[in-house]
Amino acid sequence: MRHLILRRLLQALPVLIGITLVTFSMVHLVPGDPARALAGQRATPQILASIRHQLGIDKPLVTQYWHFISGLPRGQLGYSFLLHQTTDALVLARLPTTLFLVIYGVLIAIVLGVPLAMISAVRKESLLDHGIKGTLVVGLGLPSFWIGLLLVGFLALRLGWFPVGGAGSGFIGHLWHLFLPALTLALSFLAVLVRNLRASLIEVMDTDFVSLAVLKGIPRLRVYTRHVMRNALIPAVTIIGLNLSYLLGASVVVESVFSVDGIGNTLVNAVLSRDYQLVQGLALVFGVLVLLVTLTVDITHAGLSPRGEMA
Amino acid sequence: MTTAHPGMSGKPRSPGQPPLLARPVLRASAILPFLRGRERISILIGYTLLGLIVIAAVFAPLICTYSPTALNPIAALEAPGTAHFFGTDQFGRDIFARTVYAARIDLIIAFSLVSTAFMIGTALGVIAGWAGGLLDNVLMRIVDVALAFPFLVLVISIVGLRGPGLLSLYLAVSIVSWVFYARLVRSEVRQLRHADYMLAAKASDYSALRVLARHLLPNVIIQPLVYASSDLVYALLLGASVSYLGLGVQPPTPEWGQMVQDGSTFIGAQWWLSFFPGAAIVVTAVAFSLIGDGLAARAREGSAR
Repeated sequence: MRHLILRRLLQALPVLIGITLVTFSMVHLVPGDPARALAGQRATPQILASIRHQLGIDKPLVTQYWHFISGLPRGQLGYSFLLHQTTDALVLARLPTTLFLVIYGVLIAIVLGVPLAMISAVRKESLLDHGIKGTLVVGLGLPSFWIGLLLVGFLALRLGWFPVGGAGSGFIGHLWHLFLPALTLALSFLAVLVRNLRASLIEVMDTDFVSLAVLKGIPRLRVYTRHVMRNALIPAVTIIGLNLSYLLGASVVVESVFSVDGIGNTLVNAVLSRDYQLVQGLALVFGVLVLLVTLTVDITHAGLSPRGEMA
Repeated sequence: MTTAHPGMSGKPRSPGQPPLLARPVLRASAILPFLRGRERISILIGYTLLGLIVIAAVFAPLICTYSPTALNPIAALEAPGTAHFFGTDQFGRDIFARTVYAARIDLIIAFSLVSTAFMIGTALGVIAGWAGGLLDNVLMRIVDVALAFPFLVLVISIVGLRGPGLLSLYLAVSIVSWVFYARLVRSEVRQLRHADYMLAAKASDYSALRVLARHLLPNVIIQPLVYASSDLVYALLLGASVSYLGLGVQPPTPEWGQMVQDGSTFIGAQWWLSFFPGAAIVVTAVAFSLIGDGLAARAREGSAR
């Protein structure tokens, strides 16, 4: 097991280096002079030079890259010239909100998705199953920004049941304020979850031990909850793990719709205000986050399955 | 898909015999499979929906009685009714006309994003899988790195750094999205490299180009094609999302995501501003999904047969 973890970590290293390379070179995608883009058209050469010096772009590329990565282990991700804060301070303050939102969304998706998948699998090829499948096709095409906006318009503005935006404070405040954003996130993920879960449930139901349980006279409901569901949970966890990258991406849009001050909304605002260093730092954080999740899923999965060592 | 005959003889083929080296071909029924199969209904609905949307987009000037960009302050924020089916926005522009015209740009975005990713990804996937070695390794590490980022985060960052606009969106997505196709095609190529008919084709001393183009490509192309048909949904949502965030299509060109954004400040009272363009996205996405799901099911059946 320790071998496996070590190997996975070693495999992740080139990807990590790749992530830093990509985020580093991002700034060089800026057309023209980043300093001029920051300072405006009327800036004097002296101001431009000082901004270039502050950004560090007056040095050779290799030095710049070294400067960029040498600060990373100490958590130095750059500086936001528009928010007048270091990126690491911003991430530290805002990442928890994003993680709360994503986990909340996943939980809502599970609460909604597991019963749906269960019904769909138990009543396979019935009218109900086809109805659920049809609804999911629509669900797959729902733009999260649109469904989020409709939820705001109807549940928050019309009926006044929920707050319109923001993240609230404290755990209860988070639960309350982030319900609609989390629901939006859950809806955008529900179709994928239910489809995959349904397939793995059907697979489990066709196994001999389920037939045996039924033949032994164990009540159907108990068979489904105790025998089938338990075995379908591992694939469900894998599906969620594999889609966390997607969920993090979707959270960017959702945070923007509900003006939740997580790192996703911060990224959008940084992009809109052309705060290049902040964009760079946040992209790096997202990349590392996904890498960590993938690693965790890989290792737990290998640890859980008896054939894990071979995978 | 088709059976490959093991072994080979030097005799030339006579017309009556079954082909010795049955080279799998891209059958029309793989792409247009609504003639048979259980999925025919969903595929048929999908194609019909998509056909209607395309027709509406192409013949937009004939369908709409109003211009999509003409301002009319007297008729601002009118509710949906007989004069304006979908109502009007804060400038008095007809939402119906804007929604129909926007179909043009949204469909073009979806198709061009997917076809670019498909072509680059398939080509690089074939090269990586065929060449193996260092080239394969380097390409696959690039794929790993690209997949390490949430797709939307990478696209938004690149678009933002390059400056908002359609060209930036197109560039950003092209830089990233080919990796999905490359990975898919590469694994197909790795599997097929040692198939009997491939060995036979190579043993026949055909040129590498001929082996690749006539023997390998027709076999590996199905998977990325099926993937592309469901990828259209994601491309559509991606284009709309980026435009919603103000980074894609710029006003006054009507685009669905951007229209939803425009109407967002009115969502409490004048819901129609955002509702109809969003609904158009859903209907288009459903059409793509129905086609994509049907094709995927067909491909599974095809490989199981």
